[in-house]
Amino acid sequence: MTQSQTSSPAAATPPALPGAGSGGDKPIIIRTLGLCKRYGMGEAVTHALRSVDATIFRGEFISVLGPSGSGKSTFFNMIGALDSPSEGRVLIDEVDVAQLSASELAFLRCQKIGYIFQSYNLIRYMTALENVTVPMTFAGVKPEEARRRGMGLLKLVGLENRWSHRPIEMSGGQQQRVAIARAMCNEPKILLADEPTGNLDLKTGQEILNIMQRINQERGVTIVCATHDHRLLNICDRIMWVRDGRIERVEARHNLKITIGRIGGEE
Amino acid sequence: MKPIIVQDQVRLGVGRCVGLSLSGMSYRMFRSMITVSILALAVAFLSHVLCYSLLEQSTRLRAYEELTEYRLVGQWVTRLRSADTPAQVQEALAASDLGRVAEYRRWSGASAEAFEGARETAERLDALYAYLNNLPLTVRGVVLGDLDARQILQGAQNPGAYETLMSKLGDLNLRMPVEDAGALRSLVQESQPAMWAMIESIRQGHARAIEEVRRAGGGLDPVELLATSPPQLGRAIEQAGFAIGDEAESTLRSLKSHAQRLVDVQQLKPLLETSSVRAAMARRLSINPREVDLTRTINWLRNESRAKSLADELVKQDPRTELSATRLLALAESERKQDRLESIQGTTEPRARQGLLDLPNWTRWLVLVSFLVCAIGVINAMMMSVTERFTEIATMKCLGALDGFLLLMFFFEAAIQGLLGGLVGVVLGVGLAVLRGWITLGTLVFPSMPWSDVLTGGALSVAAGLLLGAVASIGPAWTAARLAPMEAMRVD
Ligand SMILES: Nc1ncnc2c1ncn2[C@@H]1O[C@H](COP(=O)(O)OP(=O)(O)OP(=O)(O)O)[C@@H](O)[C@H]1O
Ligand SMILES: [Mg+2]
Repeated sequence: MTQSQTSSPAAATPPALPGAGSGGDKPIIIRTLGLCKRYGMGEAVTHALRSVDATIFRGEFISVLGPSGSGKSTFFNMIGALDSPSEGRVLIDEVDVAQLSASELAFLRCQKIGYIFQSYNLIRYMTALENVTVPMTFAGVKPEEARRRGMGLLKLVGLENRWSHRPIEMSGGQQQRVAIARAMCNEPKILLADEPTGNLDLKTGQEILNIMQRINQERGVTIVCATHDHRLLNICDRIMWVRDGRIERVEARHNLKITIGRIGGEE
Repeated sequence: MKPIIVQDQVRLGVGRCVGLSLSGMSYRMFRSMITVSILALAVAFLSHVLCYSLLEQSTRLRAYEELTEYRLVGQWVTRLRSADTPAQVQEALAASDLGRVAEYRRWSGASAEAFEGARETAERLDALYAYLNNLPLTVRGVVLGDLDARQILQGAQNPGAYETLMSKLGDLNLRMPVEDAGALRSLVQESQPAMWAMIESIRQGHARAIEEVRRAGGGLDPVELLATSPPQLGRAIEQAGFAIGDEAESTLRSLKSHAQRLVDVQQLKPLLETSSVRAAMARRLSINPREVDLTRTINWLRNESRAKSLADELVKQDPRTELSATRLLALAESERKQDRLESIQGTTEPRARQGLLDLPNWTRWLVLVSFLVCAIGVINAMMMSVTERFTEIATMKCLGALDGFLLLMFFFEAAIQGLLGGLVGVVLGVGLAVLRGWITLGTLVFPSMPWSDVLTGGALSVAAGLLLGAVASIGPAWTAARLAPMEAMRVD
């Protein structure tokens, strides 16, 4: 496993983890240690995450399952370095994100991680194409090149005819696909997808899943995906169940292959 | 497989930033326009108040200056009629009024040394008057009683009165602004009587000079004398010892025309009292004959045909009258001008020094209050337009924007809006100030326009709007940009 350049004290040899799932000796890309997140304070405090120790391996496709309000989105924000934990640490490639400077964080968010937000978070005043090119702009890609790549990505998600539409002029599913295209534009190493198919019909959803599977297998992008979509369970490597801000169970898919129908019934 | 190398984010040029700002602003055109309008209104208000008060002040000053001519003839008539009062003479001596002092020196007939001594005494006594008159009200009552400082000190020439005054001051623990008791005593009891004697001889000299001028003018009353202004008048006045100034000729010319005006008024008044002229005027003005008076007549006398018809009436009443149509018209115009100038100047004398930071007190308050209104309006508009966009800031941060980039974007937007609003506002505000000045003060505002002050005032208003806009938009943007992206997303 290659260590990153930064030699912060926090990054130095974190303790070995209890084997969550069957990672074998695959390199770890994201690790959380005792991660807690509380919202609000005093009486109204919500424990969204209660001491989560998770391990995500490089190049794997992991699904996160859990009922609504179980803390999936909160977990995504934490491992994507978008929010600060109340307690605990997040290590990406064995570097504690709390040790990164603002500029390094921006680099990480821009070029190494792609986010598909549950609520899309598109910028209202920009067209679909402009929304897709924003991260490329921040990464310093030339405008023409960014436009070319943006059009390619829109085509990939089936929106090449809608490139000039603004978010309010698009359906929820179309917005979701713009968000997916945006997440992939800087060819991130990690893709964090919060219910990426939640608003899509069966066929479009399947297309998006195919795209995700392809970039996972061809480019080795690590994908963490929260979902209620059972088709996803057929293509992921591992499944993580979350309940009440805790990790309930982590299983490799091949261990579950036989019982997959039952899991579907459980949900 | 390559690891995730942690490195610094790319820094983007200002151009990208400006581009993003502009596209954002064009999308939110309506909001931007509202923000700009609020800014423009605030700046317009501020610059209007500032500029109008400057304009009013300088116009009043201008009116005061133009009225000097009108006042001058009155002063000369008084001085050619009777000698200055002792108090006037003393005041002029104490104030070192150059023209007067030269006249007095000539009229006193005293040696330069004696005259200078009297002048110095007048100055020193004046300081004592100021001291006594500025005592707190109750203390002043005890020391002065019903008299004023001049009378008390004049009385103190009598040793008894002097001791009483000193003991009163001693009881109250007061000290006159003089080196010591000896100096005070010699000033009050020795120099003072000498000064009053000198003033008396000055007044006698003044009376002799008046008599000389009267003889030279063939015994005419000063008003008529100035109005006829015979060729030797200037010489006679100067020879009698009056100081007429460097531009004697133009002064005499102006005195002549204004004296003429006084003479004409004196002639017109009794004629207007006669029943036939009254009746004729009443018909023309279509009012009751008893209401016919000088003011109404002057106001009506606005063109040649009217002047001609009045002149005809006057000739019918008094064939020897010199009031021709042209003279009547000139008189009416001159009188109206005086009225206008007086109404602009106001009841109080305008203060001489003017400028941005030297506004009257109430104006300063007005400016302060309007500045606060401006500030609150701008801050509110700007903060609204930024807090509305916290999700946008958060999203951009999620996508890898640097804090500095976001700040620059908002700063640029605030700057454009501030500049636009400021310029529109200042044009509006100054324009309205000039218009309002024109309407309320007349055309006199144009020659007396304090351009540099007005421009500075306008620039200050724009700068205030710009600064406030920048601070009000950068403040919240900075707060949002420093938070973790999702924290910013939650702020609302
Ligand atoms: N900004 C917030 N302030 C307070 N509480 C919050 C906030 N965001 C989330 N929570 C709470 O934290 C808990 C976890 O929320 P989270 O959004 O992570 O759930 P989730 O698993 O993503 O649910 P869903 O499947 O509905 O998206 C919930 O109980 C929620 O009420
Ligand atoms: Mg969620």
